[in-house]
Amino acid sequence: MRKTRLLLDGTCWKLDRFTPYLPRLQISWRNPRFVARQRVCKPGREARAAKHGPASRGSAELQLHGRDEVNRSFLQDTPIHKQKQWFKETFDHLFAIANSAEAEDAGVLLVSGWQIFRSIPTEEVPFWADVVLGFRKMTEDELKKFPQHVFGQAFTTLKCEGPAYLPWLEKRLKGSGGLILTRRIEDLWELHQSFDIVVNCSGLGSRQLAGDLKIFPVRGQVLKVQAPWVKHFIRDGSGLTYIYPGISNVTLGGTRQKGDWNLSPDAEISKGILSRCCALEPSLHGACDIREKVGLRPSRPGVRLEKELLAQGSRRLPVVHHYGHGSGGIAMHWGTALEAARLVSECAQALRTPVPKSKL
Amino acid sequence: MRVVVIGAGVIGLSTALCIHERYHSVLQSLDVKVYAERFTPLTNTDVAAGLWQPYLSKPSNPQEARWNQQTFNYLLSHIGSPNAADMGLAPVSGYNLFREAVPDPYWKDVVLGFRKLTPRELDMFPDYSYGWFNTSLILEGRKYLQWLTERLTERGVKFLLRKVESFEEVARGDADVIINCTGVWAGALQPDPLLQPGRGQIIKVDAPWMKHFIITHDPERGIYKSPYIIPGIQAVTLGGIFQLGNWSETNNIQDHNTIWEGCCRLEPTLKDAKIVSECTGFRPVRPQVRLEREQLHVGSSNTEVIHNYGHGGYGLTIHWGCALEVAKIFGKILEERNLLRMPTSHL
Repeated sequence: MRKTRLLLDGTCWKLDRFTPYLPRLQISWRNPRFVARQRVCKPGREARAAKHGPASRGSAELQLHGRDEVNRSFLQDTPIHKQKQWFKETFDHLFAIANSAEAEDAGVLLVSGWQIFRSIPTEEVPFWADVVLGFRKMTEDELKKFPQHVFGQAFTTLKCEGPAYLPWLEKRLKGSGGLILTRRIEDLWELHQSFDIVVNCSGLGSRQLAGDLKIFPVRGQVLKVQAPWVKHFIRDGSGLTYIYPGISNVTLGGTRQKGDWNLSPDAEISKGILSRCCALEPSLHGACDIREKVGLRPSRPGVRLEKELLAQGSRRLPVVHHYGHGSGGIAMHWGTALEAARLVSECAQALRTPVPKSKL
Repeated sequence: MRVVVIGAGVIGLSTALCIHERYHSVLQSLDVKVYAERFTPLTNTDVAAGLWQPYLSKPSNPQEARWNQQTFNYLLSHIGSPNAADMGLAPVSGYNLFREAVPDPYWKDVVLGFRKLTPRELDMFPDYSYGWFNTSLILEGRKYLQWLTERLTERGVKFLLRKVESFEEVARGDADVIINCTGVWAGALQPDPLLQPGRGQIIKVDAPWMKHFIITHDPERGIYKSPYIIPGIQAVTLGGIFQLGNWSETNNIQDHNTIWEGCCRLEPTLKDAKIVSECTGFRPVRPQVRLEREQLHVGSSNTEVIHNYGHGGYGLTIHWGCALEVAKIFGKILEERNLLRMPTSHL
């Protein structure tokens, strides 16, 4: 039977999860034409992307809730029960890593802290409250630390750091026989000759690759600083100001600039971020080695997680779209990946089923 | 008024600062000197992990509970200052783990957000079935001593490297009031059968992903004899050794293994953590803190000694409350000698 060849387009698949669906799947990696693609930041701006790296390096990496108070349009087209399911699946997956010897290599750690509000939020207990650990309202004594804020939530969650997590995933992928190559794709049909199924995880690149104008950037600028005494996360409920301690630095954020494609850090914005964060945590005045980073959140009214059969003449190319997570990429990635894997297996199944010729 | 503080650990330096802050402006002259054989980084305070947490059981002297609380509130008031990290001070949250249900500790309303652990949290620690979560404070010994030294130096307090052989020698030469903060070595100046070393050994590792403290308890073995992991500002302290009566200052390989195995079992992520340093210290163990006044008759004059030692494994936890108490006693001495420039208020 024809080997089903798989293009890995930006998504790192855990192939051992894949094989139960396709017992006869063989990944052809000896074929020199067999390529996979790393992330596309934006078509035509590859040089920029190479300089700044994948967007996940710049953005905040805290695994937090899937919806934020201010930006109510976040994933409005994705039902809450789905978001919660993906969030829970991702949390459980990362939680297991955090408690294993892989934690440091994978860049996953447990962190506790506070989300604080300047006015009582409409939703005092968010949908993800029972997914994180130890969720409760802050006490009066705890709120004294934040005189501008009147309400808060305390909980323990996970942080998953892109710069460590991505290489860790890549290593596992390679260990399972997958191949990762850097190549620029201008059109999905370029892949038709060499591959049977394409999984499109190109984020903002889908504007070009899939003609999807629903996806747009929400620019985020952050600072990475040295402040190793900060052991808690602090997040303002508006989502605009946050302090996320990580393994080797603390992330201070941030911004949400809709439709802004600019990957260069803005000095005024950096000043603003530092000032807002120092207001929440004055000890940050002593932070040093401040580095600016910018990322573009691949925002969309809902995550695009669906199959599409591209047709051109007699040519057919099954595509699984898996993109558009906005600010919830880290928070939901594993849950959506599980679903995408199911869709890929459906595609593979369909390829094996002969199509009746009489139809058309 | 000449004051000599003997001892330059957290008790000595904080008491010196407390006295100077309170009485410098109300005395015609206040000369404070610190005599010690060991200064940071060679004191026992430097070995301590620095977590604010009293023992679980109520202290035999109820004043100690108050001193613990005063210390916490004093430190908490510095959180929110830009200089907190310079003091070695930072909030830290974490877990206390038990093999069976225990009553809540008397200090549960002193720390922040005290609660019991949920079942999912307990799943992280398969050897334990009950526990607490709360937010407390880290006060790193070494950093804090450096900070105290700077504050004292600014105030003109002098430090002398000197092995004091007796109170009398200090009384004869230099002091009207002696504050005895000699910790575990107090017995050399005045025999105290109630004072014993509680030897501890710790391993400091590089494990910056550890943001929580984890303290296990084994009521059969006793305090500090069960693994604990306490993140500091730069490194993480691993411990679990408490040996009463052991004066050996060298690191012991069996103790190293006990600590390492216990902590790696508790927290598998530590397996590949790099060891930064290892050291030994002596907790000045006593049934209760000796905080009292004693008059010495040296020649024709009376020299006051205020004892402030025996803080066991909770020196950093209780230090400021004790310093305030010593300052109060000092104030009484000044009153008795009619030395206060301004009359004391009608206390």
